[in-house]
Amino acid sequence: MEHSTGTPTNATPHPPLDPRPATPPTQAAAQAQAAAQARAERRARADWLITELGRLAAQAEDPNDRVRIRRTADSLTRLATAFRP
Amino acid sequence: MTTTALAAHPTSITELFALSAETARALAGAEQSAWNGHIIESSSAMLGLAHWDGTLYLDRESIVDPLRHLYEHAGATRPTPTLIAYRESLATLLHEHAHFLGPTDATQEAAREAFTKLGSRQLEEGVTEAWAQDHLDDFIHQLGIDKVAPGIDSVRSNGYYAAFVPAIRELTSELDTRNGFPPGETLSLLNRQTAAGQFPLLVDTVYNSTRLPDLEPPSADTRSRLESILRSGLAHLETYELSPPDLATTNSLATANQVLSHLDHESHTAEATYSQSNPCVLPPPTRRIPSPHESALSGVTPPSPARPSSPLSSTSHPASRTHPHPTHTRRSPQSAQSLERHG
Repeated sequence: MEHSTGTPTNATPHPPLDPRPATPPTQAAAQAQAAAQARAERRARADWLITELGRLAAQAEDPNDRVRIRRTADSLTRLATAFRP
Repeated sequence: MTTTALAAHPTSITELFALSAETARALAGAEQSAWNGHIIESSSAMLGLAHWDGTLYLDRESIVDPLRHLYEHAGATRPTPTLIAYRESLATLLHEHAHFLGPTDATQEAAREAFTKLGSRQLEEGVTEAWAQDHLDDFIHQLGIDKVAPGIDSVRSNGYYAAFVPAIRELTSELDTRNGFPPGETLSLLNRQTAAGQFPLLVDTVYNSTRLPDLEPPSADTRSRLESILRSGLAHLETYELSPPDLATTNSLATANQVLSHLDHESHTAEATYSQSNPCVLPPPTRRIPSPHESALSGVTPPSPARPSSPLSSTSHPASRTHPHPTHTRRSPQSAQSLERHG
């Protein structure tokens, strides 16, 4: 027979023990929010740069400059498509 | 056999496209290419794109048409600007194929996710372009294009990504030296990885070039600090992306040297921490066995001096107060005499 020791019973199962230091929920949420914000900013910057590079390439008189700008657009387009699954 | 080698060379743009991926993969020594066999001729601001679904996009006017022209006039003598146009198209083709390279367990989904992380685009783009520049002549020879367009290997075209390439060359050549690798090894190893594997490999290469693997436990977080320095430093390169090539090159090199300096500072600080916590090991002190005379005289009060000795502390001496290095106290003649008397 079990005897109560005065400790309140809790029907909720305990989460498995984790030796790693727990990150406070608010701090983890803030980190996730900051990461999401940084990601959104990089995506918006890539989109804006692609548009801007298209305009610059169209206006460039030097063919070498035009190619250089378009190669930069390649890289940013790769980044922009990486943000879109 | 010579005939076999010639038969393997493409004789049309269709054959070139079919063979180019495998040629790039073999040149790189990579395990696989994620190219799905599809090429789409595009017409937009970009010139080439290695899409995450494995499709290769090439600009019709600037890339595909020159390559079509190349095979339509096979063997003919062409003016230098035409040869340069061919060469630039082939450089783009090789560059885009290099984006698809990776180890057998790599996925484009993981690569795509990693590419969005800070500094990843600059690293991959710099590695891909530097490697493609270095291997363009090999690519041309492997595909027999120097026979189709005589003189193509004697003209030179400008490379691109001047904001990224000099920094990547500086970092990777320095790591080659520090790790005792042959020149170009770090760049080649990075080129065989997708974006998912490039940063872990770069951090490992930096870490292994220090004494830290022998000093600190595997659980130490030095690697994450090194990665943070590398990511923020490489991300900074995009500041110079639209600068004229000369200015971009200068700033790219300066950034690489700053990154190397920060990495050195971080690793030296960590090395010093572990060196201090593990001082040189001395043999354990041994208990000295007293001589028979010492044992016999133990407990006997020592004889008192004939006159009081001077204080042993040297701080009472004026010279010690004015000494520029107070921790290195020098014995005054008086205190030395006293010590000798008590010695």
